[in-house]
Amino acid sequence: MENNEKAFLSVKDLVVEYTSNKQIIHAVNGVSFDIQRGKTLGLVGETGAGKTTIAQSILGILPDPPAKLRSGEIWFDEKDLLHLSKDEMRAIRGARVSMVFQDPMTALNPTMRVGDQIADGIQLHKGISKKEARHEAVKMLEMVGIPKFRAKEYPHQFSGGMKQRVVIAIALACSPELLLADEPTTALDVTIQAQVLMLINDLKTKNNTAMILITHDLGVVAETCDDVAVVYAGEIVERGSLEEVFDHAMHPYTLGLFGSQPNMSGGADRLRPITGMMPDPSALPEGCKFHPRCPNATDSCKTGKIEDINLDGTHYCRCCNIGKANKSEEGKICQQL
Amino acid sequence: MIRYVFKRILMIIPVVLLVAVVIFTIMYFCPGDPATIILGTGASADEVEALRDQMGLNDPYIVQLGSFMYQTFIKLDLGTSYINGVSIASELASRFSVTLVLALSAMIIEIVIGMPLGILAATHRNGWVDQLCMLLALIGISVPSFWIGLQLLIIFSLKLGWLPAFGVSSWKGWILPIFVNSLRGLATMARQSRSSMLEVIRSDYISTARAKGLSERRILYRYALPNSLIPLIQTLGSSFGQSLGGTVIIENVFSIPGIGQFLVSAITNRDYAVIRSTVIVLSIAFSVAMLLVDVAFGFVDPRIKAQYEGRNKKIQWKRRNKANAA
Amino acid sequence: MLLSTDSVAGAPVYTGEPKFKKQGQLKETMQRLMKNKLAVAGMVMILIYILLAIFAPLLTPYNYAELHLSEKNQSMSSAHWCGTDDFGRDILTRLLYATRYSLGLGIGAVLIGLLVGIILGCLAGYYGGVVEEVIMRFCDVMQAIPGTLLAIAISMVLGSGFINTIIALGIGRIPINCRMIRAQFLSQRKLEYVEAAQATNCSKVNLMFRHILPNTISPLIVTTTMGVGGTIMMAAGLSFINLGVQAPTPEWGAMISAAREYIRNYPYQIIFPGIFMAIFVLSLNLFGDGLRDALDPKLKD
Repeated sequence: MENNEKAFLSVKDLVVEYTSNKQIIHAVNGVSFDIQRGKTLGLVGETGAGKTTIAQSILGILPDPPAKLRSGEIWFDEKDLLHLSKDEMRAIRGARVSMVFQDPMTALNPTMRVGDQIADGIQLHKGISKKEARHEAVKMLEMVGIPKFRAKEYPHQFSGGMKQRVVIAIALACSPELLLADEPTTALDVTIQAQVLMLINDLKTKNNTAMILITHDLGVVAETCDDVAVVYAGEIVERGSLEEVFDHAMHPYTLGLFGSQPNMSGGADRLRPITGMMPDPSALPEGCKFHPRCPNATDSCKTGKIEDINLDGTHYCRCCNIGKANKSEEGKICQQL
Repeated sequence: MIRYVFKRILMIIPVVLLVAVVIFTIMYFCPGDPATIILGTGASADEVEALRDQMGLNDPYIVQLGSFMYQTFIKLDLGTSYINGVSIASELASRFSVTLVLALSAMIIEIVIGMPLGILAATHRNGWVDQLCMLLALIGISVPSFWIGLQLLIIFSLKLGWLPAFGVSSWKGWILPIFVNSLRGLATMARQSRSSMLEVIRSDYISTARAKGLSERRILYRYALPNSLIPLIQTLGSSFGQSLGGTVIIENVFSIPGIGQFLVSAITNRDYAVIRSTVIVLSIAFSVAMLLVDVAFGFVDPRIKAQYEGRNKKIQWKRRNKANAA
Repeated sequence: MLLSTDSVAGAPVYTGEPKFKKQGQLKETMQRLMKNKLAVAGMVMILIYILLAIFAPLLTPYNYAELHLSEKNQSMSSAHWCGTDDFGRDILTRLLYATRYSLGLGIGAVLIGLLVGIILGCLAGYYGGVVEEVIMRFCDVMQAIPGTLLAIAISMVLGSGFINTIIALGIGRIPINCRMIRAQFLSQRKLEYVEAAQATNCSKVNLMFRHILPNTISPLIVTTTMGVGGTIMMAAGLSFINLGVQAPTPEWGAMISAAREYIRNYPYQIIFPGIFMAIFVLSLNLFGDGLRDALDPKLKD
């Protein structure tokens, strides 16, 4: 994209590895994307595709002994995040960039009152007194729909859905400019999911917050995202605006994703998953990571670095055989059972 | 909170009573006749029989048990020694403080030195501090305490003459016994605190704290530490039990006039009355100590605190709202 | 393979393939264990001790019980690598034979605790209700009595001696194992309700035993290994106060106790048994640590 410098958040060729038991796990393999202010990017992919690692890298909270950020650049509002000092980074974390975690049941400190957990960050970033911070924390709680008097309670006294609201309150307490939401509704009941998503959207719109929404639920993406990036085996295999990706999907994997969705209106007898499994991140295949499962794989797919191909406007696809696969071929990619 | 304390107290009463029943029952089967032991081998059969009747030794088990429980818990009379007829209760009372000092100091050392060491090791994991601490801790749980006690005696008392070889008449006499008695508990606590802290550090809420931009220091003290301490109550508990058993042996090694020494000589003399009452008293001491530790942690663990606080707050809030609306 | 891998939040999915899991896990565990040098060192040491215990008679020309009063209290020499005790017996010989008795005490007591504890735990877990309550109260009471004191009380009844000491020490270990098994039953019982619609009585039992015991093995193995070390220490303590094994049976604690009178003039009589014992317990602990790390690598770092 030409306006790299102007993008609010710009990630370029990010590579992250985990070392475990002398094995190297390639979690993220050259990921690049941009986000504009106030826009929402949906990061879609299976569990284990590397989405959370990407988010953690942006925020700078990769667990350092096993994880290592090998190379790449992360630019936030024209600041090079990877070369900031620890203190500078901490000033950004929680204040300008914050994260909503996946599992609300374990995301809160069991020995600290809920109100204090929100006030903690507020006091740090806004430099106000504890009392004032607590006051603001209570306001945040009410904003997410939790009554004031519950600020003095402990996490175990809240239900899952309410805990997630607290997590959201913590994340939005200092009005961040970028919100990283890591599967914020996966661990919740379907009925609560809708409420939580609506809440996030409302707060986001109010403050013009940019957001990266990590999810494996295509329905949620369709409802809330402006742009989409499809993640597979640590790479972004296709990205673009919502319409570009959803209506004109090009990558065989993306097509497979859409094809595997059961047809709610027409009725479906059996599910149609994509054949095969995501590769073991410690032993990734050469060339295109998807080629073992791709029905259109040719020899050129099996070696070398596969480049991003700019299809149209902001639509990119990492495949060397574009055009050979299109919507009508969805069936071929998905397993015929 | 008072309700919580009350509840816990109520819970240990049946345990304590049952412990007395179990110990009495076990000792009931001891070989040898108490009357013979008391009167000595020179006594005639008639004298022995008379004493047996007097002591109720010919009564059925249930009656003996009932009378023992009554005597011990209602009349608070722990009986008299078979060998020299001293009142066991008074003997235990006079020796109690010595044993208490040993056991308590072990617990204090565990908390004050063991926990910080373990936490230090955890925060510098795989560094030299960690390796050193864990090596020392490993050795601490592998050497028998009485042997270390004797070795240290050889070095500091016999060879160097710095510390007395037995007794606790001066403060110097306490150094070795306290050190040796706390060694095992200290080492165990260091290891346990380390693993507890490591587990806590890996928790999701630590990531949340980091994502807030908090300093590592604040995260350690306010997020990691309180959570890692809570599981350590159990370690503290079992350590205290072990050290109570350990004082028996340590007092023997250093010739300290505590309950343990009393017990050991009773063992040698087959003085069942003393052994029975002493074991029961020490077990009760153990249960009470556990109760105190539990209660102390109950004040700290929010899950328990909240149970007894929160309800009141909600009622107050509702009342206030009603008043405002009216 | 399905694209979306999420299941109903919280509930584990029975894959119906416990066998594969077990085999793969065992191999992985062994591999991880082998990589841990300290644990391997511990294991080797333990094996050495076991061999010493078995082959003791072959390794030494001396008899551990014969008195040779003319040779008493001799210091280390080429004839007696660790010197002699006050009865003229070769100390190294007694140490080697003591390995048999101490090992026997440790393993015997732990096994008793294991067997009785598992049975009680299964009864408590399976039947629940009154049975469970009674067994749990029993455990509470047993655990309220400090281990050494309980062993002392039981030893007074049974008398001293090898087998009696094993029993006295073993009884104290029952509650721990009992609780562990029952805890497994408790966690499995929760899952049971998920299966309640489909399960008949028969498969309930099957499920329990097919899933409970394999799951308990890991923590049980670690506790047991460390338990042997602790038991040996306790046995030594008992021997030190003249309970435990009786003379002339060699046992590390008894040897230390006997040598006490002579620490002034013949300190080596205390040093050798202590070091011998400490090394063994250390090896057990190293191995136990290694096992625990290998069985659940998450806990290691």
